[in-house]
Amino acid sequence: MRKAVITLILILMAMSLTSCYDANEFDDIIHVVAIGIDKGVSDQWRLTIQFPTMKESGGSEQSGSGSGKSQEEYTCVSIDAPSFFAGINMLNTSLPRKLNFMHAQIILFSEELAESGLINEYIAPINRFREIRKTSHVFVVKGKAYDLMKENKPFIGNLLFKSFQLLIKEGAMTGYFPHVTLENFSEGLKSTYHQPIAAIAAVNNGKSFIENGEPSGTEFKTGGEYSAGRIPRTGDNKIEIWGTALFVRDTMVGELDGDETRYLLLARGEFERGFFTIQDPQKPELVISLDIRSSREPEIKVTCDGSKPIIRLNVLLDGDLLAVQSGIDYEKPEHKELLEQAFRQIVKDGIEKLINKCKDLNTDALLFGDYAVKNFLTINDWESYDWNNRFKEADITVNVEFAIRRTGTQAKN
Amino acid sequence: MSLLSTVLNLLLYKEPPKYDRFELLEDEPEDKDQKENEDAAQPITEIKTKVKSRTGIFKRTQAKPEQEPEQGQNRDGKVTKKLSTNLEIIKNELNFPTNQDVVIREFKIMQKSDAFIVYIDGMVDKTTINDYILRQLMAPNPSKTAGSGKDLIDCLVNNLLSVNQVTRQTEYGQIIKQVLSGLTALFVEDAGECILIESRGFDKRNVSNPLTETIIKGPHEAFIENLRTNITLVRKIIRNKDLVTELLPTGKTDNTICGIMYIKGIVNPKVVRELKRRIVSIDVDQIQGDGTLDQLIEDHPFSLFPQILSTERPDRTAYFLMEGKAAIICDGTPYASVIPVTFFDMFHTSEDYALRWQYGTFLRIVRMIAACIALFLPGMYVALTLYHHEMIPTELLVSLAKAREHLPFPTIIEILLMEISFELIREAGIRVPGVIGQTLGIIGAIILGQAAVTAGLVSPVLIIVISITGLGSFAIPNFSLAFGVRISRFIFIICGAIAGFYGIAAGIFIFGGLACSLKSFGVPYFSPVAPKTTSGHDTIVRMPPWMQKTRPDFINTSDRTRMGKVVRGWVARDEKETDNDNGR
Amino acid sequence: MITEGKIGVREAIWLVTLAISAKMFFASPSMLVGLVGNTGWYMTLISAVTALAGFMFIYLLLKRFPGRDIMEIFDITLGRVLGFAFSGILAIYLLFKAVTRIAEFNEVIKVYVFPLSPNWLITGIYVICVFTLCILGLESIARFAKLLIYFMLAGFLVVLILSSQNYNPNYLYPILGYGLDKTLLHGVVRSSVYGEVILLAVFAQSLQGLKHIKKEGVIGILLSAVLISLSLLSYILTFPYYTERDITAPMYEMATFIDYGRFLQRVEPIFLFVWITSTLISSTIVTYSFIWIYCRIFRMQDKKPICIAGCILLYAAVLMHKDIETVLDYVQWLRNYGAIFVFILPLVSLATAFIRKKGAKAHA
Repeated sequence: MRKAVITLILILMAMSLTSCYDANEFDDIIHVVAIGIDKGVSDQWRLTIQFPTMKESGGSEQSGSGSGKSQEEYTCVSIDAPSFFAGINMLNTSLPRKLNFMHAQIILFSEELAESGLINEYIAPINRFREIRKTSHVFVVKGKAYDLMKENKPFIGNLLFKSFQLLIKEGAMTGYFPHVTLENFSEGLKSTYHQPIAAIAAVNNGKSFIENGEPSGTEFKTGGEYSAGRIPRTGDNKIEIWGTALFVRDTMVGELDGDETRYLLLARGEFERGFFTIQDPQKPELVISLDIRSSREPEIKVTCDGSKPIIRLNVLLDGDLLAVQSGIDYEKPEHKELLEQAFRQIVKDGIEKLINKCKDLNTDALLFGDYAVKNFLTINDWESYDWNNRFKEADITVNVEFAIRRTGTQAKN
Repeated sequence: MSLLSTVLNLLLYKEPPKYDRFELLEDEPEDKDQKENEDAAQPITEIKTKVKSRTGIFKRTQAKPEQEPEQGQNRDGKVTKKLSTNLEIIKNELNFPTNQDVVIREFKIMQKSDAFIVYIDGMVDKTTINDYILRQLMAPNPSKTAGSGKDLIDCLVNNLLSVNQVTRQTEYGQIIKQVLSGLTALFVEDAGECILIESRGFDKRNVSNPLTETIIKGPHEAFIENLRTNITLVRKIIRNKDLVTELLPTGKTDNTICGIMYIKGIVNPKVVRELKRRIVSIDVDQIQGDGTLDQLIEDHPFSLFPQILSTERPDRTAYFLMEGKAAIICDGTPYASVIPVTFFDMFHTSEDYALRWQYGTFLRIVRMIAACIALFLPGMYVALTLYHHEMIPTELLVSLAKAREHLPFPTIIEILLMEISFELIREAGIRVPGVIGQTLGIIGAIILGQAAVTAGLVSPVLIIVISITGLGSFAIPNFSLAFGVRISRFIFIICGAIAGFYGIAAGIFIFGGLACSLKSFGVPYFSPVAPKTTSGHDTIVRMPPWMQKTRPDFINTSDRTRMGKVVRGWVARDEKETDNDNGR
Repeated sequence: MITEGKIGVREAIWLVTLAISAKMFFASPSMLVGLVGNTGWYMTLISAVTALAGFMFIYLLLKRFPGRDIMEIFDITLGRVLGFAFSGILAIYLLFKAVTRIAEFNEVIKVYVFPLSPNWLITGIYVICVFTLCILGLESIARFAKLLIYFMLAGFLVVLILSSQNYNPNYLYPILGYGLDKTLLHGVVRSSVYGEVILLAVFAQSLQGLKHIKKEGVIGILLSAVLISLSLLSYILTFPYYTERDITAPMYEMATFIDYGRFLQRVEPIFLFVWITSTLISSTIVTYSFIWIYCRIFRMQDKKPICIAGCILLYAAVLMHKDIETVLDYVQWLRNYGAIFVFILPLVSLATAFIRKKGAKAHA
């Protein structure tokens, strides 16, 4: 017994003498917030990383430094490097601390990179790297990732981590951009079931916001048909996430605007909730706002018996009436039916248009393949069927079910 | 040379010394029956019959009264005319002379008739007995000469005994019960009945509030330094003739007496035998009370976990005795040591039983969490801050990192510094006399922590960690276990610093393995969870009292049930159903 | 004879279950997906049935020789020399199993958690743990397994439940994977996944009797089949077959996907406890069984020095592999051929017993 105890103590002491290999104090490392990847000029990669500067915005140090200037909480550095990891090491020669990507939540690829079909080459090292979490969010940037990161600042509160997380959470409540994690995306790159998508991030420099000009006419807009970076708005926050990038394997082939993204999410069953604005079916110059939720997952049935796959998509929606400009009492059953019918038609048209667009681009972004696979017994059969190339031949019928459940605070108009 | 021999000693193989390890093996039910059918161990059968013929307060309706051979002539449990028979029965019933609390005084009334009185030492007021019973009876008093037998009894009651309350009784059951509650019984030759004389007089003077085991609901009595009083305090709660106190001298020079208490018929006789064997075998000059004795008889002296439970509460001791455990009370210490105990007993307090079961269970879970916090929190903190930054919410991470910017020490030094200063405050708080001590603890902790943060020595989060750890260790009800936890904490800090959560997991593994190998008087330390035995619904979750029908299985008590089939007579139907559920 | 305590039925069941199902935390699930696609979750049930059949032979063997453990039975049926060889092979198989388990653990934990810590440190800590428990003996190991099982099951189920946010039932299709024939074949071959059930035969004398051994073996296999099947099911629900086959440790990866808002995410280090302790228990009992058999076949009275030697051997063997691929190859080899050691050896012994008419008089 005593021998064992002594031996154990000796070993424990010897162990505690070893330096702790993987131990890092907080102040040894920098936690990167965002990673931006562009095609480099001097080398293959242009890697941009953003991280907090750890400068005190308050606390114990305030009495000491009398500078008084508001210092930047976050900063960016960029480097052209032959590979991601070479870039990290090269950066570390100038950065006094070790880079750590555990808390990185945003990975940005430039549109140029995506369209040239190089995503796979660029995402593979990231995918294999243990520090980068598969739950971080992937965006395709209109323009250069580098430019966007320079504009990426927290403008509510002072934590970039938090503001981005909340922005993404908000996406689920609008349906204007999909929620795509690195795992979703890289899985899509390999998938035999479907094609990957990514959300688009863009810098809105406020040029679309015309301060003084002709007032808008009576032409109807849903609000969703802008493309990323063109939303007429102004303000401090220059970054917006809007729309979807469509891919065929690792090549970005197209882009969806806000409305199309909503229809895409409806078909994928990822739509949670959003406000839709439609024309009043009885007074087309006025609009009606609806609060739409998906009541259940969409029902998708795919049969692959014949020469081409036949797909039946049934989208199930619930809604509340939010605003009726015309004052027509849509609460009444006959009027309500009319409104529901109109909305069904709009959604149906929207989804069909989207499907046609996808067919043209030959990309199954709507996850029909996930259901088509049920027709096959073995992986070999399925892979030889080659769904991703057969999708464009598919015969798709769309059906929308929609009911208005509540009419808001006013039961009668 | 000695160094060489030490090294050789370390490296060379030596046959391990053989010694018997006491084990309380789990008897299979069928085995047990078999054993009882065969002649088997003598004491067990003896006890069995004892249990069945119990006439005391623990008598149950379903227990069939079985006649004992030696009581053949005494079929109805009545007092006989022959004094020597009475004496024999009383000695038998009260386990005289094993039970040394029982005093039997034989004398002659008025120098003529044979008689004896019996009482329990410590329970009676000696003045009453000396002045108003013995003096009156033994004085030659020719004027009041009465006959013998009934006449004599009448004469005694009417003329001689100048005591406030005197009753006549013929039933042995009643007599024993009364004697156990402190009355004196007077038997006279040829009378056929007995006189019960009120002589109650407990030693109450010194009994005060418990210091380390304070509770809100329940009795507020604690043991004192007097062995006799302590035993009486327990006996006052368990008024049963089978509660046996055996006194054993321990210290070879100072002749410290220690009392072993157990309830014959409930306790496993093997445990008592083993306990006595261990105590008798001890050969030291001096036993400084319970603490020393515990260390001399415990199974694993090198373990950080206490294997003997020490309590200063008579009610708790009584509860354990009723559960089938044995208690050791040393003269001179206000504590009773209870064996055998399990890990989970350390988290129980007597309040748990006084409270409704939901509250009691809640308290126990809180204590468990407290123990976990006290044990692991600092280690976890080290592991998190050094290895697993991804676990920390990003917002917190940034503020922690900012706070660390100006700190000179690595985290491990920081936490050891603070832990040690916390221990210092704690120790100093106890040593500083009186009122100052209390304040020193609180003020010291606050001021020291605050100052350390302001001085930029430690990070503010660390102070929170240390304080919560301290709170956690205070919430562990068992003093010894709290010590174990306080020491182990440092080991886990080192484990966390060596390899993060992996190190802590390895630490838990080794600690847990060592703890699982422990046995307290043959009972595995983590029973009834590992190994699994039926627990009587009183481990972590305490079920309602009427569901705790069985005594803990792992002690292998002679009498396994502590309730009748129908506990709550007024809901008899329900009870039968739950009975079936329990499979009995 | 070394005195070895008795362990109860539940302890034995959980010990076997833990020893079997701890492999789910490492690379074998993804290897499985490479072989049979997304059908692993029912393939393992086929393996379990095969293993049950194999265990029945072991049980029959033990029944012929009540009160004896498998080493003694080997000796009786096959003679001293051949019996010695059989027991020796079994011991070496178990040691190899322990070595690969630890090496696998070592590599996985280096990949995911401690990329910079050297092998010797990780393995060293590991072997110290194994050593301590080996010294304490079977009773303590079993009790500790029983004590930990609550936490492990809780942790395991929490991971599965929390991961349900990422489940996609469509990943279960095509339902037959790479074909039913492949699934069946691999199912039968990989019955050695449940091979740790042989521990019951090794420690037969410490168990409560034959009737209980049968119960323990069957329940142990079934329980671990449920656990393994559940975990494989959740892996395949989370990862489609074309990504899962590339993942080093799906369980860890799956835990990293847990993301419920800003607080409940990045929680995988917490589950490290579950994985580390269950792997430790499983490799400890396997190592201990090696030491135990070794002591028995050489008729040794004191197992302590063998513990020291065995653990040093273990340590050296674990450090010997070249890279993670080699380890995975070993694991693969063990899965494919393990059944020979675990189920065929007792079968041979049983057949010999029949032929030589040894054992239980009633049967002969």
